[in-house]
Amino acid sequence: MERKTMIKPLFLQHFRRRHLNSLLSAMFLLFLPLMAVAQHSSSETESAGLSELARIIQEADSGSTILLEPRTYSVNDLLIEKSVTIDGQNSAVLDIGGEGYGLIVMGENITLQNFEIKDSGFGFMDDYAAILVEDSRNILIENLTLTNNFFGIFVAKSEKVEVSNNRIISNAERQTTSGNGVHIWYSKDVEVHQNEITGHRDGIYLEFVEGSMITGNNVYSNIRYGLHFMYSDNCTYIGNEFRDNISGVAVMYTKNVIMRHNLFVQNWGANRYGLLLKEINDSVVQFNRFETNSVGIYSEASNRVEIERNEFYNNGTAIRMMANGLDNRIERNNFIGNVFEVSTNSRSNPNHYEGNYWSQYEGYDLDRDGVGDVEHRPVRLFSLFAERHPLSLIMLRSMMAGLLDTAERVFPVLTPKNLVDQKPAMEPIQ
Amino acid sequence: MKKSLVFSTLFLLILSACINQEPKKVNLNMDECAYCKMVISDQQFVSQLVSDKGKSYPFDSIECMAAYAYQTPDIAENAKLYAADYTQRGQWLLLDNADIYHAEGVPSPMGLSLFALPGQETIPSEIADAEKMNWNETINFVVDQWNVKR
Repeated sequence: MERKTMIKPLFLQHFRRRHLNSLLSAMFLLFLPLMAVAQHSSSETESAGLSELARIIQEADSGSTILLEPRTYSVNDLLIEKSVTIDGQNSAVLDIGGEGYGLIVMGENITLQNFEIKDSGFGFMDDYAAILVEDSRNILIENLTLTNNFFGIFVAKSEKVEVSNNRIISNAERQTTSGNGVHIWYSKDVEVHQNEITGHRDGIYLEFVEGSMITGNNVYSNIRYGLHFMYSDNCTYIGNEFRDNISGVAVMYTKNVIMRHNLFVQNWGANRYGLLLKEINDSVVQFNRFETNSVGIYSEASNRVEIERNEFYNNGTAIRMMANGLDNRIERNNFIGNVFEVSTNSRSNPNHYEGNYWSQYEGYDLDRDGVGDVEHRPVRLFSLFAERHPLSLIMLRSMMAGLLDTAERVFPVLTPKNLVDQKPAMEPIQ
Repeated sequence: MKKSLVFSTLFLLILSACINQEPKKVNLNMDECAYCKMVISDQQFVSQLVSDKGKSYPFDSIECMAAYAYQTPDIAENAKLYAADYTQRGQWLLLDNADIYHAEGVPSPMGLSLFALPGQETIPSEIADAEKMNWNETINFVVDQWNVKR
């Protein structure tokens, strides 16, 4: 044993002194090409490992269509600047893996279609989205499924963006940290059609958007507003359904809005409205249906809004009209089975009510022209009590409340004297 | 007589000391902004005014609190004003010890891009050109931008 250990160091010492340097340099030379190959291959696997999709896009020609294979790709903050169409053929899945953005679109003429994208990051400071569209033009996003993202589609400072036929669904577990389904900010000419949006904060959110068209969307069970827009002039909303969103729909600080054939259903609770109009001017609310909401329409500081041919069914209060708005016209609507038809906060009435059908109307039509011969006062005295003392609602169906209401209708003292429909319809308007 | 006077003043003093002007809890996605009626949901911008009677008025943004304070000076007088710390989740800042900033691009719920940070705190690096404002300047800015009337 001892001898061996003695020999080995001696031999090593000798060897090192004489040959090691030359041997090492020879070995280095020998391995050099091998190392180069290794380095090359490692960089290749790196780019593939980071994002296969990024490489595919890099290699694609501008204007071409990229067909994805039916499997899962991992994506993270993937920048798309080239004019391409990315088609998932209804079976590809892009997994963001819970961190950061998914796709970041910054370009022109880009189409994203037919794939699923899921699990974006969510942050306190950053609005992570599955798809972020920024400084872009002519973008089409269609037939996607967005699952469990913080924000679904976030559009900023862009023009001509269309978002159609997508399913945007978020997990209810993350309620308190949920972002908006479709969020559009500082953009022009935006179209949002036929999307299904649920489980987000606001279903569709628009701020500083001009000229948008929103049709046929089904927006339900979001934790704040189904549709929420502010400072977005000249926008049109047709044929959308807003159901069971915690606070209904809010339309604020905007002029020239057209809302037709929409459905506002099941927004129950304190401070919940089917449609909240706040500082809306020169707008049209026609042919909509308000059903089972605590308040159908709440209007504050809104002027020259035409509320026409709408159906109000089974709401707590059909219209709550604050007196700080002027020249609104409420005409030819059907008010059927609402607890309170109209309520207000003032004794003056700067708005016009005419030709509506009120199911609480108790008048008659002797000349049979279809128009009631006596005027209708839609504000019940009891609504004033209920407002000051909400608990008094328990007396709603009592005889005393009925007597007070009738007396007030004959001699209005507390309710607004000129808030009357002079020509109430006898039959529901078809 | 004198004794009862002393006692009653003491009693009143104690009562007044009972009024709590600490910030109350704001229920996100439930409570409504006292100014703009919007449901409050963005924790970074939540604000709150607690009157000298101890009543809390929640707001979704600093701009709404400024407009409200301008419109209802009787409530705002002697009130304590709080705003959320822009960078720290769920942290209330008493505005007396905090700085208000205006920076384009900061997505405050009402679009005027106001946010609050603790006094002397450096601004997050991603925000360019933040302009510091005191409370009166903030009110003037909001009143001017929104054309708020009393």
